[in-house]
Amino acid sequence: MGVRALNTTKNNQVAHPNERVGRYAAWAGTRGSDAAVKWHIVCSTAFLALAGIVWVVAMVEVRFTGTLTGPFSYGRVRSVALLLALVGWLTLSLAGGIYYLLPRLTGTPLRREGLALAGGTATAGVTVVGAVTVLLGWGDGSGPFALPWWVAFPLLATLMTPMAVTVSTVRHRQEPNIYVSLWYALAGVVWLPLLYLVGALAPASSVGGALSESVALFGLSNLWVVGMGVGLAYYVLVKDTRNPLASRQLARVGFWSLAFAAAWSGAGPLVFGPIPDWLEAVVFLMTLALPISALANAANLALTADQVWADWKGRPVVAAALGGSFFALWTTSLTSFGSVRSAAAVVGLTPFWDGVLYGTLFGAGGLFVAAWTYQALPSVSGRGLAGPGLARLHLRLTFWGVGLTCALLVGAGLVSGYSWTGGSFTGVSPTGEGWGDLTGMSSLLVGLSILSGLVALAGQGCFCLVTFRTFTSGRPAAQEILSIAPEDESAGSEEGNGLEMREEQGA
Amino acid sequence: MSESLEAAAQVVGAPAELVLRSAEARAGADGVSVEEVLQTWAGGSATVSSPPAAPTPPPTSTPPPPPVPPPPPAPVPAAPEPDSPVSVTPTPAPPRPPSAPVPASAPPAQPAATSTGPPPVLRGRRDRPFRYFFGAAALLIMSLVVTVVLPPLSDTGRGAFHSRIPYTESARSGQTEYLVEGCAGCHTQLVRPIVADAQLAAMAGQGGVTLSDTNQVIGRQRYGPDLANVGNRLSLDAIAAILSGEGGHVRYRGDRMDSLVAYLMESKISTEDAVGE
Repeated sequence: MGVRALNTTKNNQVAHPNERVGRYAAWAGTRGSDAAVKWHIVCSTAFLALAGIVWVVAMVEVRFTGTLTGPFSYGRVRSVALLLALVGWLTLSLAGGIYYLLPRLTGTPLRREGLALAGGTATAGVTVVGAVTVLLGWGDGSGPFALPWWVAFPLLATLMTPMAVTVSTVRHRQEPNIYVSLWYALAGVVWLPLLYLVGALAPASSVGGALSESVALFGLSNLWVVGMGVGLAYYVLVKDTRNPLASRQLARVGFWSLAFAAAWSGAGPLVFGPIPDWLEAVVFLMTLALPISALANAANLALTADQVWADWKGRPVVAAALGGSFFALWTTSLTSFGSVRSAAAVVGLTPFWDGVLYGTLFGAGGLFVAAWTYQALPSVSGRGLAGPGLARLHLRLTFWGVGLTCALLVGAGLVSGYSWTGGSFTGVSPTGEGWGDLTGMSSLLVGLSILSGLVALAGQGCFCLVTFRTFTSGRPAAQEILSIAPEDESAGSEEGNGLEMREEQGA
Repeated sequence: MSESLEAAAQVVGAPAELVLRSAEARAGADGVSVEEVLQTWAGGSATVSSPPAAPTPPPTSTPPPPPVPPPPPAPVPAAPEPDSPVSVTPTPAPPRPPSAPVPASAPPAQPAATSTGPPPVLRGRRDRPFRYFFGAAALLIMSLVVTVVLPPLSDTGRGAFHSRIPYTESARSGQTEYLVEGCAGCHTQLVRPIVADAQLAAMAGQGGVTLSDTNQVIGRQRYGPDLANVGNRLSLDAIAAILSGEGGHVRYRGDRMDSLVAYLMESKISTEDAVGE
């Protein structure tokens, strides 16, 4: 077989200020300069700042109802917070992560990079328009984001761009071997628009609407956010630790059990609601596989990082990836627990599910995003990570802030559920004037979660600061060399060619 | 340049086109000319830090070997499963020549290096990538059909009934407001067949909503009281007082409030309306 060798700078930046040759020549004459990756990082970071603030406003509003009215009432702000966090921040960031992975794992430049840039820009624009629309009361109240159809469907179109870019790039790959992270990228780009479509088509009311909304929301968080986050973690952890992947078989278990089970979890919050008995049984069985997936992936990632456990504090990428996998395990276990009928009788319709959602998005999603961003920033910006201490602070505040918020909301859910049950026996009315008596303790926990949410918000601010400072400090330098290794002695075997990725300090 | 290119391509063992592209990128990164890079790779002066990965050691012909001959891929010492083709193998650290000097006027503000030591090798496996694409899509579509499409098609279930509430135009407008304002974020219209909702069911006068009931906005959280059949439980004045801000509720005014009050007041389900269980 012929030799495939390619050695080129992966970064468009050059060390010499007057040397323009090669500035846009990375990846052999294409525009490929990680421009799409950089753009997605910047955009998603801005949305993170917005989403964090709006989420805290929503938590304040749900505890102190009536504090804010009109555009900032809880009903509207909650949808906007979800939109900003799930689409504006996490989707843009994860799409950027896919664009970062693709050329490095396929050995070919990112195809349709212009489309990737346009798609990211359009997603950001439509998200802003959608948020304003909902705040002004022009939403239709259906689906997780309450977007009117004339915003929802353009947004769907923009969410299909990662699929077009990924499929096109993979089709033109030079590297025949598929690394684990590419499984998740290929699956994630099809999960994203499908799940969003389910939410966008949700009827405005009734059983179908409730199911569509719940399935879309929990599907996006468990499949797209956690799934793609794990996929990125598999890449960045190996790159950062320089350890071999612990087990491909374990990764396979994690991937297929996630793909098989995660979408079913959306019906979990409606157990004992107006869904058929058979569906409750199926949902319970399926969601049992969800922690299995998280456990397999967490174990695989932890084993991969085996040699650097002692130094995890000094390695933000490792700490973020392992922290994300911990949150994924924690929240999927809660999801599975809440889908059990006996547990659902207590936690159904309570803040328990808000806690699960918060932990999934800001805990698992936030830390996985941090892991790939911290690993990629030096490569795509040509600068060292600004403020490693700030990055460590971000991880600490996020871990404790999000963890505590999640735990408090879950606790509030349990208290609410048992209070309703007790109130039903004691004759305290679960409606009208008796409501306050039933929700006293739970309201206290929800109130405390605002404080821990502020801690998490401070952590998110640190992340934004690290990103901003990395992009704006000093001059960039070329530093990454990516090469496809020649066929080695394993050529012709099942293993085939290897894809080497080398990083060097170029200047 | 063509001679250098051919020589470099021969040494590297790669197509000339790829070598040229790599050389251009390498030159851009190191701030030298492409010709210098090619000469280096072809065995000339060592002015460039990194030659491209070569498939075999450079030929022992007349041109001297490149300054940094890449080592052959190493075995997989750390692979957990010898028969597992997928591993990330740290290759032996190649000797790294000093990088091209950087002018003092353009230093990076921070050390840009992220790590040292041997580079990792991400090894995949000969696979069909689109198996994951179509497999993931098929599994998701299957689960969506079962969880989203099938349940609303059934009109029987635990506590199911059809409510036939003849809403007025104002009440229908109020239901739209109820949705747009996101009232379902705090209030349910859903009575479950469990102990926690037992008294509520008795007060509401009916069990859970039907699978095909289009009158109810089921809701997702119960931060506030349940509103199923609320028109049978609260008076018009009480509903209006709550919606005007009593008890810390969000305040509404004007037509919006009138339509919301109408919707909630008309949300009365009598047992005669019930069909099913």
